Amino acid sequence: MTASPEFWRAMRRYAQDPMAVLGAAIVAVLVLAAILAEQVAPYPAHAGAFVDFVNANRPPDATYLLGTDGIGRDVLSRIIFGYRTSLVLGLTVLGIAVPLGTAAGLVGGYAGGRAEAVVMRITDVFLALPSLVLAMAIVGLFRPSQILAMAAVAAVWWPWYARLVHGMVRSIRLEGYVVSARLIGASPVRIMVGEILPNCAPTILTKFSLDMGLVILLGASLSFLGLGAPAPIPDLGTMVADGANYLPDQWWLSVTAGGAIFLAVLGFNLVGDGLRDVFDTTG
Amino acid sequence: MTGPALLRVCNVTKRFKLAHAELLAVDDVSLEVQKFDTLAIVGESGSGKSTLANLIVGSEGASSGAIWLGDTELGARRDKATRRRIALVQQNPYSALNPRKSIRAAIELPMIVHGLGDRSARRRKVDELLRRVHLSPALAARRPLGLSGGERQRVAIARALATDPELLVLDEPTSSLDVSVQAHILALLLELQQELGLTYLFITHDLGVVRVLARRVAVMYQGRVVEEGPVEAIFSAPRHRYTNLLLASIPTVSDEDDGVKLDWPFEQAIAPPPEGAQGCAFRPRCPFAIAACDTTRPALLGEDALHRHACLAPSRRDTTAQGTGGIS
Repeated sequence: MTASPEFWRAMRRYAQDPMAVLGAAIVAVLVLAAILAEQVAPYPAHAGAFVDFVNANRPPDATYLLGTDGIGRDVLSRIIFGYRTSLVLGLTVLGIAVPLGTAAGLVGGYAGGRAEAVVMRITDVFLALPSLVLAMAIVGLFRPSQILAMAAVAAVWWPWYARLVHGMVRSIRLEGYVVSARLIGASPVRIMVGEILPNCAPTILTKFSLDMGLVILLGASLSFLGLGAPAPIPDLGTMVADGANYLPDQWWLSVTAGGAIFLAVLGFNLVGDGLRDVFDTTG
Repeated sequence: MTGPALLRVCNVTKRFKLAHAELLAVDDVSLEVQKFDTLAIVGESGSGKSTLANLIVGSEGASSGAIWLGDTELGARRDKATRRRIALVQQNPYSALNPRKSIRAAIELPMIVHGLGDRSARRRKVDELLRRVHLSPALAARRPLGLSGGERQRVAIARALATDPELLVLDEPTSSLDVSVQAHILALLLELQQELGLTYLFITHDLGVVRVLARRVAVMYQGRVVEEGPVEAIFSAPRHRYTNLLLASIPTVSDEDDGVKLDWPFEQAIAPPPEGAQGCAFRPRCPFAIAACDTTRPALLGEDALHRHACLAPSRRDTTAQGTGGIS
């Protein structure tokens, strides 16, 4: 389907919001840096198991823009590769949680009756547990790994989408066009996917953007607690945790990694806010 | 009668189970609609007219009784071939079209569901349907966002016609439109009926619209049909007292008075019939009731072949005064 005039009108309105444009710029830079990390990072080799004790613990200077860590690795390079880890985590987690939660919410909200009761009670159980604690429990059961961290965060994240979509479906299914499609004999799948889902899409997309920041934060929290990707994979949360041992002398370790997390969360939140404003007015 | 009945509603009853009670929304209703005819079902809110429409279009199943479309029985579960033959035009054109889909996609959906024609055939059909409802085919690519209520209702009518239905159920199709737009939609419906040989079942509370569009009228009160007959007979010589009330309730501006005139000694409040009530449901509001009205529920009896009513103390045939006030 080609982009409609409504889409371009929405884009123009988005472009008029300076904070939203700033957010989009931040996200664009981070995503590009993560994709092109090998080309962009000053010392790509420092992302791995690299050791250079001669240049260890150097504060930020012209050679090492954000300084080096305890074994001489360039912090900026590790942050750029850390973004790759974080974005892969965010996309994977939401890539699982959004379709899963959306499907659960669609089915629960449209089917009603027993199916709805089962889906929404399961959702409630997940929502009742604090997400970080649940994710820690899941990761703690096994050996920490990046895959497991993603699975754990996805497991605590999908119920939010189930509840969000469920609520929208409950009201949309009473709309005339849904009634009309049902009476003409359209299948439930066609009605859910073709008629109801497009009306949930803007809200899901907005939440997706806001959640990218939050998932990155939760992933960083897990790795801060030692439950993230194992060394030597560069991970922003792990970097904050490691650097915290050297505060306040080698302040740049924690501050730059923490700032990097902050920047990512800020960027995605600004984009999410901008999208929400755009979609709110189009209805 | 003019021809074979297309739609036959036979002793249909619909009960809703509420938390503490049971609501008898449609109570033993029998009706027939001839092919190419227009039957209007009128009544106030809660009279059961919308529930009856829901039973016919199949969004709900009857508690008892049967509905027939030609030789096919219309239950709540019906096959696609049957669904194709009935289409619904809803009251609210703003909710009837998906805001995120193009008008072409909206009109195309019934054809896709029923596997009618390939892509280019559907495309031609959408253009043709838009022209039929006097809209430009250029509109097809747009979404409903910028359309007026009248334009939306035209699109909804075009969509209803997409499967070439025989029966169109029109649920208050003009009540949420401006008066000037109403007239255009009514003219369009009349034109389409002529051109396509459609049969209309028309649910409304607007008697002015009934006069324009319908040939027969069924008056419903608390789930029952209390009077049924040709439009002229109902308007000029109503027999049931409730029909009198409805006709008298058409607001008229008379020359002598300044304001709107409503002089009829009926209670306006709807009193729900007491538990296990035996008599006429309209008894609590009827100033003409006789003793028998308390004990006997009047049956819908034919006064002649075309005109039936269920009233033990009907208006005399020459009572015409109340029928003159409508918008004609």
